[in-house]
Amino acid sequence: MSLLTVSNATVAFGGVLAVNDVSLEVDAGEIVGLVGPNGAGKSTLFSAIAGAVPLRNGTISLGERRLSGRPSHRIARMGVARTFQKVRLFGSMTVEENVMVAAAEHFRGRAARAATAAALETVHYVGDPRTQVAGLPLADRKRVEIARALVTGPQLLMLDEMMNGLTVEETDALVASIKALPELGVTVMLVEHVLHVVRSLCDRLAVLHHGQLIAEGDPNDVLQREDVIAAWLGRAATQGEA
Amino acid sequence: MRRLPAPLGATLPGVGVLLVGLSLPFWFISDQYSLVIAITVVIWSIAAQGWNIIGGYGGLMSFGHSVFFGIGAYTTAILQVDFGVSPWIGMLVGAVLAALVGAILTYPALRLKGIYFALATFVIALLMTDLDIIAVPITGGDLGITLPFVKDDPALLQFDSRVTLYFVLVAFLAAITLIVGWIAKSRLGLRLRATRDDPDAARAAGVDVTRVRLVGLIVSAAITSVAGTLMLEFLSAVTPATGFGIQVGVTIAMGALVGGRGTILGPIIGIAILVPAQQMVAGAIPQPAGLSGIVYAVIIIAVIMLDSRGVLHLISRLGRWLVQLVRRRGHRPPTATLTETSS
Amino acid sequence: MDVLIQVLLSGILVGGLYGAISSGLSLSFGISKIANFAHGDFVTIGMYLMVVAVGFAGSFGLLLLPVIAIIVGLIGTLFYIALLRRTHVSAATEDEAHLPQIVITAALSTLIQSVLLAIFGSSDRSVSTVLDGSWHVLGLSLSKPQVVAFAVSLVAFIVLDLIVNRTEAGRALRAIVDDGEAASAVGVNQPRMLAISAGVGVALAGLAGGLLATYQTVNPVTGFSYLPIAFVVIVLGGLGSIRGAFIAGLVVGVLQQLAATYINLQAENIAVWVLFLIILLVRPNGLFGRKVTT
Repeated sequence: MSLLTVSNATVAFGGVLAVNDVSLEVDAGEIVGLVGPNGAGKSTLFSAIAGAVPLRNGTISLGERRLSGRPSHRIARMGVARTFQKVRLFGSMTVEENVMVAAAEHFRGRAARAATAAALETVHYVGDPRTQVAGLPLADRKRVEIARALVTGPQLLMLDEMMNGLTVEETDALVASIKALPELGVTVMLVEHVLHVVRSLCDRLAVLHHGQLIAEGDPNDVLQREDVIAAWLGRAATQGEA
Repeated sequence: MRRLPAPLGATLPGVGVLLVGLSLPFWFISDQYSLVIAITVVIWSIAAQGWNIIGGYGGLMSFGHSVFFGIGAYTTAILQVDFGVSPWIGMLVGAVLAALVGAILTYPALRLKGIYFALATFVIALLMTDLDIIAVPITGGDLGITLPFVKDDPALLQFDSRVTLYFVLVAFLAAITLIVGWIAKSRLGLRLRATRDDPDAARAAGVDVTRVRLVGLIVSAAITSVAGTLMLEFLSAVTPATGFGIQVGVTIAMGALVGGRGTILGPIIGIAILVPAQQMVAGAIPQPAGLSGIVYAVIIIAVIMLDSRGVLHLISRLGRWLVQLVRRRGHRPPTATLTETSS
Repeated sequence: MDVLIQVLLSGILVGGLYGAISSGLSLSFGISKIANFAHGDFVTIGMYLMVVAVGFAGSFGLLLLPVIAIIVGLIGTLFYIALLRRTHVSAATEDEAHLPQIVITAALSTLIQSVLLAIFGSSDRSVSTVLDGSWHVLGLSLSKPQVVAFAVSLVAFIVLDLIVNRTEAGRALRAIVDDGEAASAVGVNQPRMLAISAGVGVALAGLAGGLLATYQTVNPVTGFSYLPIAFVVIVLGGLGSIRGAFIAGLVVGVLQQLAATYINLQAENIAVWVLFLIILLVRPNGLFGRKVTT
């Protein structure tokens, strides 16, 4: 049975269907990419899986357990972790405290501290954990956010546009870290715009456009499909080429 | 800068308060006038400490803590005058009642965004005041309740002299500060701060935001209620204005905010700045009336404009700036470049 | 039945003034996004200015009403620029800006009350003009100053509504409400417009104060008691909606009079607080406005 099952999920904001009848399965150990033009509904789908926005229709399950309809903090405790498009850290706290917030939900005292240290190591954060997060450079802020997501040992990690704003070296380093995650038992879903990252990281791609799933499969195949290219670049571009 | 290990960091402020407070009559408080101000400061500080749990650490700006203060005062008064119950027990009952009311009244309000929560608490405070005034048979209406005069009966929280009362109050404040310190360093404190900084990210990290806020509010209400009881015993009376008046809630909030929200000692410092300033100006320069209010307001505005997180944060910022200044004097190279700091 | 009509009428007359005060708050809160806890105290300033005006010029002082409004508006703009503008700039989100705003304006409220206390003393003042007394029409008693106050408030509201909905400046304001960044991107001078709308909002408070002084006693804290009512009105009417604020003002005015007449005098305010809490619970967006829940 798949790790994550999304069945006919629909999310509506007023009259707009941000996610429209999307069905998707993610198996344990995969790295699945969620791609598509801006506004396609990718982040909304993440929010729906994480329980931050309600589904108007459809269900979402983690293994046999239903996720949809549960409050987001419960879903987080069930093993679904996420990062946000714009890095959201707890601005008044240190690096260590940021990760501890999540760790403290699962472990007690010393175990929480140990898990925090381990998580920070996994993401290759080498600075002083007692540094205030306000004022950290972007790459480090992202590391802290991922560490916070990882520290509870989630089954599913959802990364939302992690590569935004990073340099080439930083991107490569992050890609290497993410590649190692399935071995640690973490299945990854990522929303990403940077194509070479998508190609090198993802086992599978799902393409969203106007809230609907228009393609799914091997990254290279999917990215060569005309309808996918058209959706991404817009009709005009393909017509121009023809 | 190395931080103190958690248990020490949690207890030190409380102990410090005890030592400083107990020693004050020997080098600072010289007459009845200053003693009264000191007593007032201690009681308001307790209330502000209570406020700080949900307002400072929890990030929920409440103008309604006068409700809890008033519940503490009135419950104790009613139980003592109408039923002969000891004020020590009355204090406990008041705290429980305040916690209950806090949970009920504010639970629905927790869904609201910052300013609307503040407004809701403001209106609830006004509502309580008006209800208090019309519930004459229970609360004595406009006149309030006056405690029968008793001299020197600790069981009734009345002492042989004001100085003794002062020491007892300092002990209370120290104990409350210990509690606040422990909460601040605990998981609850961490969760409260996460809820304050970013509720959505907190939920994504597994924090039950609503429950954390509720717990914070209950503790906050209980502590502020204790302060209300103490004020009753000091004044030997409670009225709608001194119990539930909107000024009570505003003073408490301002004290904590000016001193340093989300810090263990902040509320005490804030109250210690604002209340004596007001009283001393009013005492020294009685005309024109209103001068003390002007001083009070100007201090608040000045502090918040310099650092919206309060005096303690301002001081630590100043401290860090001074340290940097000293470091630079030692001909260190300018602060590291971006690539250096990136790890 | 007669009593009912009398009550409704009184409610509407009072409500008009609430509408004026609240439209002003709606401008500064809904548009400039300033959580202004001193709004009621600007009403008090307006009241005292009218006391002074009538003190000097007798009933002709009433004609100075526009001047009073402008003076109060200028004072408000000055405070906005000096104290509050920074809170917008340095805050990451709208919510984050609110905390220092609340604190500063709460302190400002005390400041204004204290200054007025220092200048005028604590005793009640009242004003006696050609408007004193009532008209007796169709068996109903209508307080003259209240009718005039209502009329002026209504005119002010109509003018404001026209400006907001029919002029370019108004369109710019509405653009800012919808999306501040986009508005700047198309050339709207956001800082200036926000300062102006804050100033106009406060001017309305001053106007209402000047009108109130014609039939209410004045002391340094009189205006403050209108603050919670104003907030209730704009939440009921919906944030950012000036029409909503005026209509809600009428509703609240009527509700108060009904409660005062049919229950008892203290119920006047209790009814309003209870209404507010119910709205927040049931329909937080009010009759016409934007989201206020998390």
